[in-house]
Amino acid sequence: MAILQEISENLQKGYAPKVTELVKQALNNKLDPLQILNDGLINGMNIVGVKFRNNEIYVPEVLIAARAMYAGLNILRPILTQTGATYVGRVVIGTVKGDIHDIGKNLVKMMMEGAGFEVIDLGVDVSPEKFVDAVKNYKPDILGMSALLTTTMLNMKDTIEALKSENLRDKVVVMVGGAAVTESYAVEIGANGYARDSVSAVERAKELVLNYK
Amino acid sequence: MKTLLFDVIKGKKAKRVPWVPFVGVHGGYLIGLGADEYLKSSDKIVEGISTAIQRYRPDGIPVAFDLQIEAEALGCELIWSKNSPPSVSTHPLERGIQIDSLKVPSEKDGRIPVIMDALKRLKEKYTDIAIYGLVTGPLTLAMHLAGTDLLMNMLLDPENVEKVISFSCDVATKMSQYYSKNGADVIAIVDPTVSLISPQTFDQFLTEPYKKIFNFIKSENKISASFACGDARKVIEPICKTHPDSFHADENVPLSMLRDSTQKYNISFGGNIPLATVLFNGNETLSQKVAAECIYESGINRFVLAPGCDLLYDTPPKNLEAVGEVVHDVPIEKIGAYITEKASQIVEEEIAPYKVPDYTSLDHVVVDVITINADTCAACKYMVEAVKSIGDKFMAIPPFEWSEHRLSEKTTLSMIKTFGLKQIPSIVINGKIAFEGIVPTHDELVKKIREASERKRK
Repeated sequence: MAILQEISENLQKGYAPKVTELVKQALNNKLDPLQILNDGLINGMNIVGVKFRNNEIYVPEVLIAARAMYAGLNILRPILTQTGATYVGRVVIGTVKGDIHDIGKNLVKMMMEGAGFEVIDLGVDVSPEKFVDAVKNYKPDILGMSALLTTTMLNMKDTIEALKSENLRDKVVVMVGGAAVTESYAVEIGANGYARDSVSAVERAKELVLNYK
Repeated sequence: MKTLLFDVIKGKKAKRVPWVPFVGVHGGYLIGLGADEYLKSSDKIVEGISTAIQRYRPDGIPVAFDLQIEAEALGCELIWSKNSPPSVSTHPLERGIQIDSLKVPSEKDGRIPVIMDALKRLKEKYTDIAIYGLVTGPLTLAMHLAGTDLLMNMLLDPENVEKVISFSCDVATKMSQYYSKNGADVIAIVDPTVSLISPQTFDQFLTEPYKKIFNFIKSENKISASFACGDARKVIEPICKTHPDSFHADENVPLSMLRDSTQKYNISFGGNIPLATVLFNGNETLSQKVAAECIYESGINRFVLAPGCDLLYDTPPKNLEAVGEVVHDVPIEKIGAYITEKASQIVEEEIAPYKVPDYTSLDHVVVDVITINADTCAACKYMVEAVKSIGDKFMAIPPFEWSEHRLSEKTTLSMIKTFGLKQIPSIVINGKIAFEGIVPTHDELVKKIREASERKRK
């Protein structure tokens, strides 16, 4: 469909007002909102993700594309909720206690939303207790923790331990990432998944949700 | 030795590689203080850095590693912690303050006097060690002032971003002047956020500010340096074009790449012992092996050995002392043998045995080529090429699969232990050592592969 292609292309360029206009137009044309989401917004964000990973575009360009994606998503969301359309999965995400760096966490959030996940963002400096409460309240498929600093990444382990003591560890897939984190650290603390960048995080999240659901 | 460091940066021949441990909050750890107390007192900084100098035997050392000093003096609020540098929690420009109303900090603002006092005293105390003054880079300071939206506004509102960066550049130039006046030998522009932007964006916003700052530092007859963090591979060239005297990167940039890029511009380069996996989590042997590998990969010309970035607060001091030993006590011509010695020591110390596959159940022969790194070690490269080439030329040999295992991978160390290898590079065929330290001819290699295949059939 030409208009969906147009949505995708404008999203990639970061033209938020144009994406808003086109999404409205597509709805007026009686296109299925889920199709607008999948073939317009998600398709566009996927291409942004691939270009980002290939170093064809950088963080500023991704932030602008994500802004355009949210412009479209804000129109579609209420309609999708009404029609009972389901998300790929639900993710609770946050930067761990003691760490207030959020560029990486926000990129993962954007890419996840751009791939059809519902994301609940707990923000920065999130304590293990807060993560545990969020798992209890939102019952997510995935809990994602980010840390830029090596000193704060130790708090990821504390969160996993806190989930265990509340008997919640088996109820949620735990993913970790951030500049300080490595795959071997993820294994060591008993996380289910690690990703070195936001695009890999989405791929890994999809695999994990499929395997654990 | 300060003169040795200067010689290397200027491209003169030197007997050994200079060593610059980036002691920041780690100085507090050395004297039993949290970062929040340490970075606020010139007495404590002098005590911490003096301890580091005595223990690590450096040729150069920064007075402090804190990229929030300028931001704090400009009104950013900080969150302090015991075991890491402070973080900026509020951004004045996000709170409605206009960039035109901000003033370049004076030498009396915020903690600038603390740092400058520590610098002066360290200079008096250590005449033979280069003291680095670290300046927050213009992009990082601009993001402290404006928040992360600055990145997006590079595309949406470039004029305004240019204004913020231009102001940050004025601050960096002024800070360089304060460092110069108080005796810093090397003035480094530390801009970890440059790895987030494209080379084109760097060029658009930062090339001129960088040139301006480096020109100023040179006009003060000081040595200039640029530090980048993260995956800065794409911005190495644009930064080199702004002509710092030296360029440091962390382990995300391979040293061989940094060497090749900086050499084109006649710039010295430095790095990049990994902070977390080696210096923090590893032991003395691993720290020594990796330091030696950095030297081996870089060569002695124009290379400064340093950690990838600011040392973690409680990095075990014994690991840094061990690196100091490599620099001072291992002759440069023996560095290759030293790496092998350390690798086998690690194998003895801690490596789990390699899970040997059941070769008899496979429909092919397994050829494992164990190397230091075929990209940087010539003998390793020949070994790999020898194996590669038989795949093309000898169609009649039994099917085989080969792979290179580099020393930097943990499994490789397990293989060395399990196969009992004494020399690297080596070739192991179906779990049996076939060639150690000697590159085989095609015929020799094919013969061994055939033997392995026949052994399997029996």
